[in-house]
Amino acid sequence: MSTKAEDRPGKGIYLLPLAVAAPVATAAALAVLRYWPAVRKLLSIVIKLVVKA
Amino acid sequence: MSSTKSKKAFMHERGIAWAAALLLTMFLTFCLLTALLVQILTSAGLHAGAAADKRNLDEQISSIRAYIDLLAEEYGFSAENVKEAVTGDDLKNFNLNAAAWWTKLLTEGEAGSVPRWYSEKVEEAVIAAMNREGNKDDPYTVIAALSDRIDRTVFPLRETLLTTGLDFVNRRMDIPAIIRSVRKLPLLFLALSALAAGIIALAMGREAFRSLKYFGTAFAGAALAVMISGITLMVLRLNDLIAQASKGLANEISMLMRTIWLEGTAAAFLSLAAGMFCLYLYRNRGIRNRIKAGH
Repeated sequence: MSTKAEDRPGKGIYLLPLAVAAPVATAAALAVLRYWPAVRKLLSIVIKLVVKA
Repeated sequence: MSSTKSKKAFMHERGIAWAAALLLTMFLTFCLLTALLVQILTSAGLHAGAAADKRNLDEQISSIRAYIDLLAEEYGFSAENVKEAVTGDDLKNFNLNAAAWWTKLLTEGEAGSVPRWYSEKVEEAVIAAMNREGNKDDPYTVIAALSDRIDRTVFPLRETLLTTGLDFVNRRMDIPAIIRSVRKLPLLFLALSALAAGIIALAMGREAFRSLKYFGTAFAGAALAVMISGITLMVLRLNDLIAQASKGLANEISMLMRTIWLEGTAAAFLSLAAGMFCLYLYRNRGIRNRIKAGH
């Protein structure tokens, strides 16, 4: 039977996913938002070409 | 010495497990996102549902009827019979044909014959309305203008450009094969997730319950990542960009996205619940171990 420190978890364990996923996902989202203006310009050109007014 | 060695081995196991948990989080996130993307691109039922949606049809009918009123004013005929001739059922069938064309393009990379509006009832109604008023203008000018307007309302894409572009690309690469590969992406990420989960289980060895901490973190982490992706997509307001070109197309796309939002949210919550449950089981087992050990 295990007596290691990591196996006496407190309620803080439920915040582990937030600690792991949130920084990565937020950094990715910020990167997308940073390049969005250029991508938006390109998309609006494509939409004007492909969609009839 | 043996205590230092076992402490090093323990840190090593934890390092591997955390690295695998991070990979598991990424693979699960990509699996969920690509499954939603594949559904948008390939689900005939989804596109047909958006095309035949009552709100969508009502907006199209009111836009077409407003145009018939404009034509009636310009060419001097009574609009009522012409408006009645453009029925909801005919319009729904045309919408479904357009959705089928679009789905075939996305699923097989081939453009079949482009759907066009045609209704004998509408032609006869226009001819009768113009003859009744003793109108000298050619009724087929009105019929052509009305058909063109209905085409644009239901199918606002420059299909010639799409089909020419597709032919050009098809000559250089195998688009149907690429599309078939894209459809398998969710399965690929699911397999990679299973691999990462296996690595965690191997690293934890005999005390398999400790894997629950890493599984729980990964499942719940993937759910959070999918939710953050969804929020980012909402902030981008893609639909507003499309609405500037075509309100009808923007409406259809927003109906598609509404279904996908629901499915994505349900999948994210399921993943979050699974993650929290794993963490709960791990914590529960840990507390029981502590009680057994007399701590």
